[in-house]
Amino acid sequence: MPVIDEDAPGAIPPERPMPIQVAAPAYKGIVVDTRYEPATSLLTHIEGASWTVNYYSQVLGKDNALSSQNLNRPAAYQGYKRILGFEFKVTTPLNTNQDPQTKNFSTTGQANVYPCGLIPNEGDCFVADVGDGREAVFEITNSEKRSFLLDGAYVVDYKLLDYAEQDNRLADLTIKTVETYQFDRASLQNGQKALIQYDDYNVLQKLRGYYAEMVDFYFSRFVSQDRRTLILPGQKYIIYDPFLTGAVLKMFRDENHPSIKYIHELNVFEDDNYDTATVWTALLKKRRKELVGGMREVGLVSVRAFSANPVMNSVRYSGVEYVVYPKDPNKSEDYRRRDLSKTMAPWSIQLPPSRLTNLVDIVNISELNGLPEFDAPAVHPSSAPTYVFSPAFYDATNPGQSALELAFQAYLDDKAYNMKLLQQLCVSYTSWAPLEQFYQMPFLMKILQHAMGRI
Amino acid sequence: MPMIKLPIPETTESVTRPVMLDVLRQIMQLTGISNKTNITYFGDLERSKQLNSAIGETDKDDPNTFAHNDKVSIEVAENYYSDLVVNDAVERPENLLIFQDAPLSIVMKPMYKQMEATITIKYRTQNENQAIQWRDYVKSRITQKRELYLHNVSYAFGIPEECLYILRELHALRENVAGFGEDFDTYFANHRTPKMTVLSNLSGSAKLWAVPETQTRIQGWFDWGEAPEKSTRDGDGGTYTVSFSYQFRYARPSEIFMAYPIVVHNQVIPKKLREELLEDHNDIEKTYAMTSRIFRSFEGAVWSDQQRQDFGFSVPRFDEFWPRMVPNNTRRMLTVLFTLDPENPRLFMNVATIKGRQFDPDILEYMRAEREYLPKSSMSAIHFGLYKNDFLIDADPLPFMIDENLNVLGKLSLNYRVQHHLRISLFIDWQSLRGGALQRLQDHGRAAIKMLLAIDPSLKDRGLLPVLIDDNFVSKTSLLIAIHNLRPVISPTASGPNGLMQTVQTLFVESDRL
Repeated sequence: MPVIDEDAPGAIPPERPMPIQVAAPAYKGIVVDTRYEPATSLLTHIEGASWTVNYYSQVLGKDNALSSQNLNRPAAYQGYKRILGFEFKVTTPLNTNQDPQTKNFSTTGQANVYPCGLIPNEGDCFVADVGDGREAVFEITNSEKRSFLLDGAYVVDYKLLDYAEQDNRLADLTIKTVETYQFDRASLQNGQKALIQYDDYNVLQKLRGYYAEMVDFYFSRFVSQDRRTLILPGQKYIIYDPFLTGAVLKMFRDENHPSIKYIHELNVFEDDNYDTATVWTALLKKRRKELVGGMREVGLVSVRAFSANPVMNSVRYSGVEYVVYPKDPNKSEDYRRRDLSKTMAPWSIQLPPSRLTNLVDIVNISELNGLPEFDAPAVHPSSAPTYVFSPAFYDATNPGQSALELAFQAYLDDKAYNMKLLQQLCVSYTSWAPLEQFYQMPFLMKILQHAMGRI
Repeated sequence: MPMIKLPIPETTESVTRPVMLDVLRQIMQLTGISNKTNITYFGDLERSKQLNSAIGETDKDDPNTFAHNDKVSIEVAENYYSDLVVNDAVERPENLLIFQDAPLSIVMKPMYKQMEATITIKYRTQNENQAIQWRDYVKSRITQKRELYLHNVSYAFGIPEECLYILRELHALRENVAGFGEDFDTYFANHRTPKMTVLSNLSGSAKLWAVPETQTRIQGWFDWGEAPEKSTRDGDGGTYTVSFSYQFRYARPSEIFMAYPIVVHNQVIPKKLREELLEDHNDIEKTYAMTSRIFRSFEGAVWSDQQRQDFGFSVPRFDEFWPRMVPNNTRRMLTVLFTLDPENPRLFMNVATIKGRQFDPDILEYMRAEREYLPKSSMSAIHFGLYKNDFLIDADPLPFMIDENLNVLGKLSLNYRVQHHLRISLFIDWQSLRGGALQRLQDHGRAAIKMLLAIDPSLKDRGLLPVLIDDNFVSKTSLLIAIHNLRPVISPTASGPNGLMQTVQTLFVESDRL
């Protein structure tokens, strides 16, 4: 004890009582709205003509100073973050002067920069097309934030340094690139981050392509022009599913596909049993609780069981013969008491065969080797006994679920998607059987939307 | 041996800025400036970076700076320290090696420049009170005699890529013939300083070998006398500013010195790694004006590289062989760098047919007659010495023999891993010749006269040259008279009484009034 231990933390002074407050606590006279206005709301107000450049932003530590591109400086000491396809909003186009004495050209310009996570600094470089089929390297000579608010656009002045040739500045910039991003204006407009890691961006672009194809595929195939709604494919009778049609109409807008405007929801809502939690409500609300105690099984009910009152514009006169009807709806007490359950038809939804193969073995196994779900089938049949998905999905047991079901579980739990698997599903859906396409593609499309938003 | 000096690829970011900020932070701590104070130290663009644009600066609560907060701005002036301007070590042994392959004589070492740095510091305080408190604190330190500080500065200097390129080429040659079976990484790791490390950028894609160092006990001092000046009000917002400067000296690494051999494992290094052919002064016929001829007498005292070449020739011309030891009283005629022919490793060369250089036929004839005495010092007027790297191979047992066609044939098998030279020299102290050498010289009168003239050209003017009898014979008396009157030109390669000590150059000027 008497020898002082160098490493000991030292004595802790005893806690003192709260000091007496002489002045009154600060009087808050004005209510401050602390709501944070995100940068994207500025987007529409940024003026200038768009100019797409590849931007090289200096990677700086706290003690580093700004520096021009220094060709003799080793790459370990000077690094750049490369942003491909960055958009400048040019306010002063390139202005060229030739010095009469030295005959040197001086080319300068000015542009606005979106508040998108990139903060321009003096000494940053960018490579852009200069108009005669050549690219040039420019340097930012001045960077000024236009607002003292949290997010502000920047205005930059720049100067042309040299043509971008592989043996000089461009090669040096390439060597000194630490990481590559892609500027994505669509994400910026959606309020998402606009600088996307280049590898992720490639995935995103692929998913966007798949998504567009899928929308086109789905609506050109399953919209019935005759009945002006979505009809279950490959059935003996004309069957309508009010759950699916309602959800799909909520997910898409008319401008997504020309056929969407033909889809009408048929009126079945005189029957309270339709007001139940289903996989569709779980999908739209992105809520796992919707599945707990929610509807699992469906049957078919003839349209004749619905109202015959022509004023109601009921499904009865729509030209549809059967309607998908919940077998085990979860109902409020009110609904339970006035039970209006209808008599089910003795047959159920049929399973038409795929035009290509018979459902399984659609996924190229070798590409998925080593992944956790590589041996799962892409989809399970959407017929009996459970609605849309297999019983394993409803019980959340694994193994037994299909790849899409697992992806949907990940969607509900906000877990990371297995991108490889997702891409496989996007490739293989064309060979699913029609009924699985009809029922399960909306899920895949929603999951894709979600995955794209998360990149 | 090529010796090159390559600039360290980067010193601003790697040395100067870290050193200045190290010193500044130590000063801030010592004078009681909060370490949270914003520091402004401009780079080549003389602009501050935008807030939150550096790594780790993502403080959303502090999106802007204003001109009314605490701040330290510095400006740095760095100059060579004039008192030590000629003291920087280049080739001389001074700085520690960072790479050494002793058997091949490859070395790398840093060179430093002695720098005198002045940091001009501008300290802005948020209010007057803070300025007064800071000044009082500094005053107390001065009272305690604590205005002189010792600093430690840390930095890392990079190795130029050219050095590593050369090293890779040399390593490839080393492994090509009589190799050790070592890959480059192992070779480099075994011969470099263990301090050496690899720097990289954030993604690890760009790498640079570097040597980290810490210089300690660097003394620095403030420019003020009894106390810093009073702070002055600085515009609006109640801020006060004071300026002062701080000085210190340190050694800034500037270049890497590298030396390597011309022959690696019996192979001449590629042309791109060698210097241009040296200009051989003996190949130029020189005339002098009177003054420059007089000054030329002093030239011998300077051991310049050109001077070294002044006596005799080297083959090849880019060889700068400079042996550590030579037999007493010999003057170089020719040094030949040679490699071994794997087909016939015993045959070193033919002295009569060396490419580019030709001996006088009389001398060749003399050599042919003397061939068994040539390897033995003072047994003949000409001496052949075999060198292994810089060292003369002992003449007992004889390492080589010379046949009647003047082929030099090895008696020992030589090592492929070392450099070999044959030095052919003229023995200049003929009074010390022994073993019947003089009698044999009498029989080669023409050669003897030519050699005497080479040792002392003034013999001719003084009329002391021996006279030829019977075409190729000189009398013993005339030969001895010439030998007694020899006044050899001073040779830097000679040691002993005629040698020259390496010392401070002295210049005497004698003037006569006419």
